[in-house]
Amino acid sequence: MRDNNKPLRKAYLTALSNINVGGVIPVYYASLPPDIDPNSYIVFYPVNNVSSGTMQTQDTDATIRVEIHTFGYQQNTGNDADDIAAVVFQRLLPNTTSTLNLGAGLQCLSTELTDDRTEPFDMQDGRKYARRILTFRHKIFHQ
Amino acid sequence: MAERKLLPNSVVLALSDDGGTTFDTVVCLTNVSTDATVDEIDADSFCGPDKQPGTFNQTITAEAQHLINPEAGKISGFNLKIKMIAKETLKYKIFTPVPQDGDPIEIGDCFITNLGDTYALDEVPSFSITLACKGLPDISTYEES
Repeated sequence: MRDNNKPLRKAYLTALSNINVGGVIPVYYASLPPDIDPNSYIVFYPVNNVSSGTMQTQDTDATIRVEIHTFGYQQNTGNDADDIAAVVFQRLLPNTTSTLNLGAGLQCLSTELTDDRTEPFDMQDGRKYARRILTFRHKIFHQ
Repeated sequence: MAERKLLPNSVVLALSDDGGTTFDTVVCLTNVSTDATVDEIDADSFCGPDKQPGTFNQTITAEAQHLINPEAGKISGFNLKIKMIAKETLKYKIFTPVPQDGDPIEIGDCFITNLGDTYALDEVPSFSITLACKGLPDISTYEES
């Protein structure tokens, strides 16, 4: 069995980097660094795997959560979160046979959106906060 | 020899089109099963009801995911369909590729009677195959030397 977490993390970082919605949206893995406070950013979270293998292959179904965080002073219509999500979909799931390049030894067979939630807006430190949470699942063949 | 159970995922199906010299393992298997029966022959007489054992019959079914460009020694759905269309008689082997002392090995003749492909939404394309056995299988056990 191979480790698919690091190849997936690299593929996600590549896919989600340089998204430009009123400026380049920074992307982070697992958490926002403590010393910065951008108005909009993306965080993708550690991979969850479940076995989906056959008698001769040790395949996995891998799930990754992508969170889009946006802040607006007094107002936040959610437009920025939705505009960023639109680009995320174009990068990760442009069509029904979208896959990721995971390098040698691993083949990404599919990409599915398993959950798409917009959290209720709330105020944080005088700013209106909107968050959209996308969860993707990939079937991965371990060659 | 100590009692033990067969390990999960350890028994696979392989097929040969050269009379059993070389076998290609059906890859990405998710299930292999056999169904063996012996016909019941009515042997009733004036002395009373009776039955006798008749012909041995067996079918083998397997389910697997399609693999494109299988390496040497492996076979998958599309190549199996070619053999089905050609109505080839094949040798089958049900065995453990990494055998332990006492593991069963079954070898016999068969032909493919059914092959169905499934291309479902968000599922890995897969197929199921049914083999009809000809004659009696040879059943032996692996013996460590």
